[in-house]
Amino acid sequence: MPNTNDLVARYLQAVRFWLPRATRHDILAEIAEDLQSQIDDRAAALGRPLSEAEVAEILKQRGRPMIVASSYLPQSQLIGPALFPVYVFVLKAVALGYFLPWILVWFGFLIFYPRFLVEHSGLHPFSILWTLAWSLFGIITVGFAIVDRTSTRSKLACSWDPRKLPRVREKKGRRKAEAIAGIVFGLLWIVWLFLIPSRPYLILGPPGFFLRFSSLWRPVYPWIIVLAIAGLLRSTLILLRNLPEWAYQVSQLVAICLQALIVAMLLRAGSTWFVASTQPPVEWLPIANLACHFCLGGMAIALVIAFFVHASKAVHAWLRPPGNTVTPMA
Amino acid sequence: METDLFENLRLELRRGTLILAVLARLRTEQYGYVLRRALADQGLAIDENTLYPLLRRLESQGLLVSQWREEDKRNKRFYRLSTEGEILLSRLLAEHEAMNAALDRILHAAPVSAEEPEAEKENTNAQH
Repeated sequence: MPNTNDLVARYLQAVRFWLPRATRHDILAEIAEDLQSQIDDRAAALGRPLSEAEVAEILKQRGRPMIVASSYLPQSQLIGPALFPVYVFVLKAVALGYFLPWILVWFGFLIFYPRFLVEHSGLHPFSILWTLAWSLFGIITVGFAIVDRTSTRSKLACSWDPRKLPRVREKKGRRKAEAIAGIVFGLLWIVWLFLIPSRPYLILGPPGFFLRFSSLWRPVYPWIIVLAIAGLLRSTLILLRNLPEWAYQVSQLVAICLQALIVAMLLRAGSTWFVASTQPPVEWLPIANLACHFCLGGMAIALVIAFFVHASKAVHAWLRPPGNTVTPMA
Repeated sequence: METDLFENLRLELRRGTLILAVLARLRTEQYGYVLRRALADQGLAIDENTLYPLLRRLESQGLLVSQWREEDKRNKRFYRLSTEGEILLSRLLAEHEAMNAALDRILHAAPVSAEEPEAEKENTNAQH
């Protein structure tokens, strides 16, 4: 049989991209079932399996992936269904790629640099962000509304070829590659961790010749080693066993929680991370300590975000209804 | 322009009918593909990209219930009318029949003459 399943899987992958996350799996499973029923019916009528071109014709008749996905999205009056998924995608990209980092940096300043509020007259930076957010929202919405009115609805609906859709990304293969990389880098990481106490320049670079780690690290250091070994074992388990999605996400959550615990222990321990190994002490010692403090704060924020992302993935994986075999990467 | 207008009005006309047809067909449990074929066989062809979102919407409104089940070694989502849906369907069908009857009366009523007698016109104006 020709690559008809591959073509359907590629089509479903393209539809999946534009679907809302919460209902994505369920909708895809139903579309997959419907397409398979159509293919089976047509094949039964012809008395032979369908060719790739015939399957492509069924997909073409079903519609461009973005338009199919848009029929499941809330219908907007200002921006038509054909462009609505792209509009939502652009808004999300702007929010996550621009505003979220901005807010995190702002909170970082508030937490680690209390004088920031005094020097920058209260919530002034936040009001700038607010104005900017509304302006961007307005520009993007008006832009899309103009494109929708002037254009492309008909162009989007016709002339496309399902055979030109991108290949299906295999999650299992990707996970295996991640696990192998995890083992290799995990081993290097453990060796590196063992060498650092006697050779601080391995983490600090040239400043390591003038600085050494303070006693704050001593109670935490064994736990960092234990966590590195646990990470190595986890990667090995993922490589050897085909973990279900929820178990994979839960293992990620556990790893994140342990990392967060270590970062919290460090942040609570104090703020003198390095002491001078030469006399007189180098002038930039306070800067090195402040930079380390910022790094740990940044890590704490990143770990909180990662926790919520993986928790949401784990819940979705757990609640997911049964799907069909042709559904691409769950 | 005229074609667009016709298409818009046609879609508007179809929308309500489709909901009635789907609800009526789902008095017996079916999955999407079979439902679509049955509707098409009975003269009401419906696009997949209209039917499936409609089914989801009716389910979220509590008029349908659905269940994933294996049939012919494949998982299929079966839909059927909920109790609330049954009550609403009977009310909607009664409304539809009443509207159809009214439309029939309007369409088959004797056309009003273009040249009304002057006296009749004056009478009507006086009443207003």
